[in-house]
Amino acid sequence: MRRYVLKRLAITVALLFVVSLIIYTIMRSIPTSYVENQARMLSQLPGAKSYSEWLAQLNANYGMDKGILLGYMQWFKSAIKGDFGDSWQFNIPVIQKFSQVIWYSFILGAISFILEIIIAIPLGILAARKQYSRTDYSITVIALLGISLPTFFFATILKLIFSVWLGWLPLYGMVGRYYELLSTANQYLDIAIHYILPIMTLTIISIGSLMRYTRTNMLEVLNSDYIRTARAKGLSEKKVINYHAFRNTLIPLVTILGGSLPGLFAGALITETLFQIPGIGYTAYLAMVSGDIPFTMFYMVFMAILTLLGTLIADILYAVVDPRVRVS
Amino acid sequence: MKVLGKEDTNQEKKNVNYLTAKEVRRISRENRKTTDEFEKTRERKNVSVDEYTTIMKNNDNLMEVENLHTYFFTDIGIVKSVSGVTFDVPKGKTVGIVGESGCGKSVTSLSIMQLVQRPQGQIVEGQIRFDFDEYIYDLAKIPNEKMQQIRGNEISMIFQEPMTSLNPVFRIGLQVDEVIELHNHGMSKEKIKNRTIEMLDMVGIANSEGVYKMFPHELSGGMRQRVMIAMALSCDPKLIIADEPTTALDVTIQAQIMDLLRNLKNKINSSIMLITHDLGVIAEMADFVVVMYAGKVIEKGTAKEIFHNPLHPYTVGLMASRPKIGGLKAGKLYSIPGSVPNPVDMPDYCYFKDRCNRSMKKCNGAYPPEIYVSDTHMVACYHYLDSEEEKHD
Amino acid sequence: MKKLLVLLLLLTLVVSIAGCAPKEEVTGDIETETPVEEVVNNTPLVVGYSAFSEKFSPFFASTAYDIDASTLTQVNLLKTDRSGGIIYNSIEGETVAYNGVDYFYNGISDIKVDYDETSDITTYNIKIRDDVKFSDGETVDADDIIFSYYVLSDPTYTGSSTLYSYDILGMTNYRMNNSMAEVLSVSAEELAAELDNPGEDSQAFIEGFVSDVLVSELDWVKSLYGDDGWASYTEMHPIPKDLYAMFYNLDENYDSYTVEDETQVLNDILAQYGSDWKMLSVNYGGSESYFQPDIEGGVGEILLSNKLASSEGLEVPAIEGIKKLSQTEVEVKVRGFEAPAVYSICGIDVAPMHYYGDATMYDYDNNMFGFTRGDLSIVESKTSQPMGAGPYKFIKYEDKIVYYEANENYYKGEPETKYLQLKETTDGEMIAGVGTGEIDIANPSGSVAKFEELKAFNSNNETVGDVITASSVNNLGYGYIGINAVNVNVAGDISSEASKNLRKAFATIYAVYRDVSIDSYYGDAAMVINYPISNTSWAAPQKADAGYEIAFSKDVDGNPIYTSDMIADDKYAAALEAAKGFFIAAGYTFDETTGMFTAAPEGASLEYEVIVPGDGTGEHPAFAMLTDSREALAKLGITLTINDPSDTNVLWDSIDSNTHVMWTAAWGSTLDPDMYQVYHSSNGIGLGGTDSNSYNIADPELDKLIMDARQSSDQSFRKATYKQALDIILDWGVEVPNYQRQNLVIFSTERVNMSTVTPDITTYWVWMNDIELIKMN
Repeated sequence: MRRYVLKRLAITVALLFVVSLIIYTIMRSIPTSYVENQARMLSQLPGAKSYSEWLAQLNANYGMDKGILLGYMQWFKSAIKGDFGDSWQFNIPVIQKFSQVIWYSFILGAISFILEIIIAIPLGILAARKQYSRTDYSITVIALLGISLPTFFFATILKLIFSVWLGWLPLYGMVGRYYELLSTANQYLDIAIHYILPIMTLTIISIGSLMRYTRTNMLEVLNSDYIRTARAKGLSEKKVINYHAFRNTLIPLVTILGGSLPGLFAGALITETLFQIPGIGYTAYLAMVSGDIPFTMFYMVFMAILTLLGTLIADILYAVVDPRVRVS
Repeated sequence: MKVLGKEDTNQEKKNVNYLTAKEVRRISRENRKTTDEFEKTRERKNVSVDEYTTIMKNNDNLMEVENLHTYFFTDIGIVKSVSGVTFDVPKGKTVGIVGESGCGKSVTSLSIMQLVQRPQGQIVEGQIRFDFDEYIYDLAKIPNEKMQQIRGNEISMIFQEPMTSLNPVFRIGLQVDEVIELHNHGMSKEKIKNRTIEMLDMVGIANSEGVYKMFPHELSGGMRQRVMIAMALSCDPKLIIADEPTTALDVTIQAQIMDLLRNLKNKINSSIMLITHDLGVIAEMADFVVVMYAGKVIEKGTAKEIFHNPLHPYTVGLMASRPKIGGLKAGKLYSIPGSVPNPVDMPDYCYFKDRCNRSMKKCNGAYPPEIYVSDTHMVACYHYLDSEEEKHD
Repeated sequence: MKKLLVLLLLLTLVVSIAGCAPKEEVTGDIETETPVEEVVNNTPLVVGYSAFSEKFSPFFASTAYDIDASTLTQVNLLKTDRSGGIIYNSIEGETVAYNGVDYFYNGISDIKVDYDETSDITTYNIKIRDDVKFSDGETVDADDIIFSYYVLSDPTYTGSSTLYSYDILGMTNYRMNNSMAEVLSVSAEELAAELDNPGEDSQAFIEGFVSDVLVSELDWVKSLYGDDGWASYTEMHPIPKDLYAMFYNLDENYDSYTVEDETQVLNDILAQYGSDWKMLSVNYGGSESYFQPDIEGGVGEILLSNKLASSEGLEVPAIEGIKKLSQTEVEVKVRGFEAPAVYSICGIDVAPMHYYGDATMYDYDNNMFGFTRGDLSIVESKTSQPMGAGPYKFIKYEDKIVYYEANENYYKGEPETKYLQLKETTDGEMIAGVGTGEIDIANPSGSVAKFEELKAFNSNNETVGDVITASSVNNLGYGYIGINAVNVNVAGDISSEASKNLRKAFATIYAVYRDVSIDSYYGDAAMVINYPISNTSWAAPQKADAGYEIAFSKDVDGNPIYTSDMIADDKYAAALEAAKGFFIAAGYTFDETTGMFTAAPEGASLEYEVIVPGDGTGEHPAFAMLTDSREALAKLGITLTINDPSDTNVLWDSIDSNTHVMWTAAWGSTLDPDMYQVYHSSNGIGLGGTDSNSYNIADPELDKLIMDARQSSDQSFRKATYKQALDIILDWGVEVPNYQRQNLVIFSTERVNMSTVTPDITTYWVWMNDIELIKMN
């Protein structure tokens, strides 16, 4: 097992290298870059230098005048030491900006993740147990609704109902206007209230697929022979489902859930934008759209690491849950 | 229990593979109605004991199955898997159930265990009287909770596919411990473990301590079947139902398992209901033989009677189908022509008529009655109608 | 059901965690009882803003929102009134009437502008009050003003102010650190000599210039294929490389047909030219002198920098024209006089030197101005934390909210509302935000839907009601349709009557469909304008003025096209007739039988393209107008292709390369109506100027008018001059003025004490100007 993990880690490192190089090349090749936008803006002021002059100056400033490979090497050398440079868009070190925004997204993602699991899996099991019954059909319909509704549409409806019509919850934002004047505990409460709608949005949209997945796997398990054996042994139906069957359904579930680890940090771009949550999703989008190379490089590398980690974790968890897979 | 549903016996024989949408909806509506009724009865709580207490007709019998009807309510119609099966299992004896694939042997055993896939499968009619020493229950009417106490405890089952019958994520020890613990409240963990290891030894597993800790995928098919047998025996059941225990194994292992079963048979005093289509196994193990065809019992009797004096043309054909080594008529293997009729569309004359090489005009009439040519030997064939009349004259 | 249950459970969980702590009284919560003695209302005022880029510095803020965020903490030397006019004596204050109401304005400075004709020098004298304090208690004095000027003048300054581009005495010398920089020049003889015998650097420049032009010409040649106007050429040489060679080949014996590879042909042609820019001028522009300005400009610069390097010029430690006269007085001297200059030269925020710079490095008499010259890192390090003498102190930017607290030391008195927050809000949610209580004030863009939405919040269904109070403000800028003279003309002569008529034909059609298109897209939120100038400017011709005309309402003979009793369809037909007249006058061949044009004169075409950046979905106020125009023109046999790219950069790129034909865009205006940057001929694309003259209009009379107005301070003279200039621009047919948007500023009637909000909000006098007076309910 240990050797397996080590080998996987080594492959991960090699993959990271290749992935970061590809990302850098793409970033350098996209048509509009931050520098060009800046030059354009500056040149349009009265009495300013012309566009081409500004472009040359800024290019030199930001190190864009070197070739792609050289530029990558330069980035790589400092990245290895942990210095990812200053973000061009935000003017502060990339890592600082990142750590400012990542926790909001992480909390959003983590809570939705947990809620999702709590809601989707039992419902999926219920649907499987009562296959083709009315319960099954209504659960499936809800799941499909959840999958089909686009984020922005659903979020807007929630806002319309709970904020504009009922006035129960805030329309957007992370904190209310009195935040600074509140005690610490009340501050947490304030943030929690502001998080309710975004979490609701994210959760309801994601439970659909997890529910279906659980249902399918559960059905497969329920029709297998060892469940019949378990029943033949005289076990109560509850024990058969929750212990014998569930333990086997856990195998594919765990691999999916383990692999969605990167998703926790990816941020939900649309939700964050709609609710003005300063999370990584929106920040990374801004950076990418304006061609902010240092930030994007760091973020992409971070996501690559997470994805590879996620796969590794899924594989390890798979071995933990399914004894058949364990490498001796 | 009465059958609530229409049967399309009076209509033309339609091709059951093609149904109009209206048909499908009608069928599914009726099915739902019927199965809902059954389910409601089943799901009742606090059923009084009187409802399912009964008496045995013959006190030597451990179990008496009488007129069992188990139907499956499917989307293309009602499948009558078991339609009117009657046989007895005497105490301490082995009864072999023989028949082709699809004749309803497994469903019979599942019916006894109350393991048919509900809500589609239901026991529609009949009684399964079982003698539990202190009380006698009709298993067909027993509520679910009661049945859970009986399963694994008084009646246990060995399944056909050992490769998939064990839960792959739990260790062997745990799985066997589980059944012991379930039916022996208050037994200490130590004792349970010892009992498990004892059972594993009994079924001929050499490294019982080691196997205790293993996972099913680390064992071969034969070993797994032994484990299944150990599980079945662990609570000293009164009846062991073995549903084709050796079919999925290769011949040498088969022989081993059969040896094991035979040895065990002598040691324990359970009855065994052995379901198989392998006549050799029946010959070795069974005291009584029941021959099933298309959901009905067409012949039953002692092993000697069936083997030396097969009466029903099907049974005769079965016997003739056995491959013989160095027989006089070596060459083509005899097989009964034709195939089992479609279970949805059962005719109301003798099911075997179309394949029988001795069918008569009488066979076009109603289904042949049960004819006892001796106390124990029953056959359902018009050929023997006169002989019975003769006998009981 | 289960979901609801879990949600409730979660809520309960959260509440119970939070509820463990004793519930503290929330001061400022209107429902809670506060102690009787103080009636302090600490309700924060929350303003909705679009996204910030976190460059909150008076020096480096670039987006309008960052600038606003920074301005809240600063004071500006210059004070302007509701019409954009300057208050020269703001220490004592002046009363100026607006819309019949007298308003009193006061600020921190007295400014005197004095132009001396003989020396051709304008002197700006600025005196400030001695009692203005920064928020940390330090007094504002001339040292801070000097410091601010030097930051803006530093050669490494990359912010958006263009102070350094004004001809302040000694500015160029200082920036180039050479006392000969302004004196030195390259004489015509020196230039000619260099051109005849170019040195290494000049040679490199010339060759580079030539090859750049040749390379881009190849792309241009490729773009001709598919354009029917050039069909005669493209059919003659079906492969681009050959057509290219035909245009530019110098060697008679060179046959591009024998060379397979396009790159090879390009290289061959390049090799032929080498550094021969004169031949390039001939082949490109028709005469040897076509590229002369560019070549001379580039070589001149090289010569100048060489001269400077080898001159005996001394180092320049200070800017001659910026002087500190006393602790409260500063003087700036500028060569020449330009009316708009005062806004840039005197309109700076006075930033604290002890905060943005290093006080130990300030010694005016020894030419030390608070930071190391050429190194603005101290200033840049404070970019995200502005501090100044403005009404509010910057606290922090967190959770997409900028937090402010009132500045007790503000010279007009501590602001009434202690806490201020600027909260990032999307434009589409601003109205709902004010309605639901998230924010109290916002500036959403105007549109039909927005007006409907805000009326719905008020119980009286009007724009001023019990929930939201809205006022419309003219946007500082306007939308237009542009026609590029260089690409829409007859026989290459952009200023001929024929070319003007050609452009006016299109302009007339566009103009007649403006009303219906703008009305449906904007409704009340915009109005159609008839002169290429924003209505907010004092120089804009008003309807009541003499000589005011609807744009493009005359036909080719000068007669009006429309009568007052025409209905819409009549107008469209009349416009079509007039356009026909223009096309014929431009030299198009008209076929009476079909009623369509069959041929275009040389250099012109029957097909033209217009780029309207509507995100690829037609989402643009001019889109409907162009579609209608296209249908109308089709009746005449003229094809108008509407190009709606989903990426706006397609438009900007085509303008940069001067390949644009017709397009829609909008200008943002400045306070001063000066037209130099956009309409002067030297600022056409690629001519070395601002490149902002995307129409490529080049009219000597127009140039003179622009310069005259620029150099005068007489407002009525300038207004009359600008009217003439506007008429010339319209006559060229290069611009169709389209619409002027109204912006909304909305207030929460419930939470903001509306009587404390500054009255008569205009484009130049925003609600923030008297922010210290605003009280919450």
